Amino acid sequence: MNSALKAIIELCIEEDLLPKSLDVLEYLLSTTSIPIPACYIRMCITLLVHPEYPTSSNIQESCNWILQQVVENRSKINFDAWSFENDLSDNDMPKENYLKIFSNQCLFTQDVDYWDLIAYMSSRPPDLERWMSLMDIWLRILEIDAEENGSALMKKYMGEDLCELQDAIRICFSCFTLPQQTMESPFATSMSKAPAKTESRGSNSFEGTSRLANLGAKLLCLIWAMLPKGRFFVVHLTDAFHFLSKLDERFSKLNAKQQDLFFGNLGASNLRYCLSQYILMKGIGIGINIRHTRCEFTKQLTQLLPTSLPKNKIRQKLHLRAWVSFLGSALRESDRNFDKELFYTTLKQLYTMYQQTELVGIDRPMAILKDMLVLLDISKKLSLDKIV
Amino acid sequence: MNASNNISKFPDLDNSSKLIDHILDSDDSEELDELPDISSLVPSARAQSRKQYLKNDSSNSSTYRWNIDLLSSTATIDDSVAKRRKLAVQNLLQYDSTQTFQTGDEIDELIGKSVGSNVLNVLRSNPIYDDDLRYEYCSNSKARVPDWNTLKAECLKDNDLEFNEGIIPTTFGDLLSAKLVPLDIALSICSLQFFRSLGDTTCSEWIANLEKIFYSYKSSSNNLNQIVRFIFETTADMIGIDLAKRQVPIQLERTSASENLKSNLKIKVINFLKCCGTLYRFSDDTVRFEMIQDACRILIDNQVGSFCKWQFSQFMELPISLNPDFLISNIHKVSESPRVWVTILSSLSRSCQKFRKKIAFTLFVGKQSKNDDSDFSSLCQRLDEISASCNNDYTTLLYQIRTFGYAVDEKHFKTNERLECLLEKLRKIDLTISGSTDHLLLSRCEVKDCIHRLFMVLYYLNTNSAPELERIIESDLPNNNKQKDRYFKDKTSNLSMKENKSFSAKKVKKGKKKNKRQAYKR
Repeated sequence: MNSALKAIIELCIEEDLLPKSLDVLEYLLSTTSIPIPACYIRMCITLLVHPEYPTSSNIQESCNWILQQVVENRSKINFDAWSFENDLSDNDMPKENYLKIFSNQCLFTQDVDYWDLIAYMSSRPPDLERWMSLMDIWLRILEIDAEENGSALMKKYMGEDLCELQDAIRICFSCFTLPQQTMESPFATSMSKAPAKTESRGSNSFEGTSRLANLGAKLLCLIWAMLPKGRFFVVHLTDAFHFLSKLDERFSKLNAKQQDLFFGNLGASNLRYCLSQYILMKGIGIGINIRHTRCEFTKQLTQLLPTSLPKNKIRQKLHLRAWVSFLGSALRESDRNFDKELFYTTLKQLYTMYQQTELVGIDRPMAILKDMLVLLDISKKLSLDKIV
Repeated sequence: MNASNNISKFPDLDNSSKLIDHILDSDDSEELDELPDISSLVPSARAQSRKQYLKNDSSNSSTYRWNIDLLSSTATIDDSVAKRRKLAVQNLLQYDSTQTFQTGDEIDELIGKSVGSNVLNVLRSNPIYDDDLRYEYCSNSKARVPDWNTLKAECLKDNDLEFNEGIIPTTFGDLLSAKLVPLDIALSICSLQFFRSLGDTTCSEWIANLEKIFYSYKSSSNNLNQIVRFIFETTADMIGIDLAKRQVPIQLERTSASENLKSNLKIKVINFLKCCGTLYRFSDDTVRFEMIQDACRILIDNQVGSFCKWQFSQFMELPISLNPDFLISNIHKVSESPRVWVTILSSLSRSCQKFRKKIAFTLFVGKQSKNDDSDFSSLCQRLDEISASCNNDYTTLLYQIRTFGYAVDEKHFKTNERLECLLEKLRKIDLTISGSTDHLLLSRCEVKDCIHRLFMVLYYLNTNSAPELERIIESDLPNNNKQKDRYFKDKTSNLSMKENKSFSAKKVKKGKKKNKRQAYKR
């Protein structure tokens, strides 16, 4: 962007005509292909969540719109804008550094990193809704980063030698549990007057919970995408393997409801596929060889066949959930030689086996198994020829 | 920005730089509202010397400075207008407080004479821009989620199946991927779950599942259209879309403020738009047009419109990429209100930019764009018409002019004569509006503002003055580097320096402003 345009934008900010400067950015995005310098993207990010700027104003709406347009133009995403590094190129710097929106107000000049923001959100603060709308966009950026940028941005968030990995896992898991303590806003240290401390927590509603859980699960998937793996199998003693064992450990500490929430939100991801294999193999104590690529389902299923249950009761429940998600992802990852009969018998076998255990807190996975069985039963009875 | 391509068209650099000097120099002189005569801008005035030009020209262009935001949706709600509005309201309140007039009618009559009673009534009751006219299309509907039996009847040929469990979307998707469920059954279950989840976050997963089913269904069945229509209409019913309003073109209407909005209506409406995006490919033209209309109506709905802007722009990419001609030939049926046109045009995404121009042209002129020559004459003709038919309805005029702005967005005219002709027409419209931009009647000054901006944008785009403007501001650069150094130094220093920083920043700011001005004067 040339400095004439920068001058216009910053003059507007200087003269307290913030909506006007956003108008100019909106105009540029909707009519030209000029890439937006990082400093303005960071300005929009800051405006979205900074407590000194009111919620639900035109400013918020414009910022949201601008950032979404930036995401949409995925080939030209400026990943530097989203990193917490302050060593930006000349083009990415504002002309007028002293403006507070670029200096002490800016989210990226606060003493925080990406995981601090997630940790703050997981404490369900009153302004959770605002942060959620920012994170929706941020997640899309990270997804594009994983697809097209070799997860370079995520690597930056992880720090040198993945030093943040442990913390990141802990914080992602805190999205599934109830908050332990209230946290200070990331802007707390730089605000001229401290924001009024409200005891009231943000939404403990179902919607807030499910959105946070979704965020946590998606972040874990993005970390998983970043970690280097072997060609077909997850190699032992690598970071990826270590990551799975950490997840297994944390996962076993969640309660039944949270565990369901966790697997439910992993969706059809590769992480669901690998993690469920890890849990299953660990549970029945066989050598852990996790495939992370499309595979011959039949072979793998015969290897894992549910002949016996783990001894530990907690492990048994874990096992069932892992089975449900493994069967699900195996359906997606399987190839043409997929053995439907084998799948059906496994499902039935699993269902009867767990029906006899009288375990508590397995209603949800059992309901899913039952649904699958009912559907397959119906399909079999109706017209097998219809199933192409 | 694009003007740099056109340097050769208006080689009179001297002349345009005069104008820029004038614009930049105009900070503290008095405001005048008339547009400069074309002859003083375009090359015919080349012979004039700079001095002579400045001497003769009494116009001031301070309002043109922000020409770049001409097309932004809030261009007219800028700070200066807000100030004027505030002033107008204050004046009004004074009318009331002095009690010079006995009855409300008398006041209205008096106000009506000079400033147009409608506008002032609105101002008086509510000074905020968008609350004067409301449009409500979605509501907290009482429509019930269709039950399993209805769905069976719609989707299944074989009717004796019972299924009513709460399967999760991912598992369902897994089964679909492996093609383990017959399509009829899959469709019934999936649509049932989709309706149930309309207000929550899992809905998009169900929509993705529906899409998968439709793609398989497309090849094997011929009643897909009917099913798509059923799903679309049921969902529309569930977000409370007023079916009675479907029959008439969109109009803005005055209504009283409604009861509080349930928060999940927003999510429902967004999911509805997502769903339309999926269904669109599989529908026939009638349903498609209903979808476009519903999407536009949602956009202008005061309660949910602003939340749906993004989803709307995503949806509109479909009709634009799949069947643009259909959209163009039907778009005028959506609404006859220029205000609605502008809302729609300003909400289209970047990738639709080329097409937006065509839509705007169709809406503005009332017929489709053909070739450059006939388009130009239609534009001129229409400009004449709107200035003749304006009849003091400045709000309509404002939105018509803005639609015109979209129609000539980034347009480069083949000849200077064409540019001159359009500029002259704009100037004529501007002249027919009596009063200045400080006038109490807000719609009047807004439309003048808009015309002035458009005038300058067209002028800049077609002459070489834009690069010249940039050059002048670029020449201001040296100060900048120093400041950057200072910034980094401050940033790396410890906390006790923080106080110092803001102090020095202030000093720099003052010094800089001075420099800036001197640079302009040079």
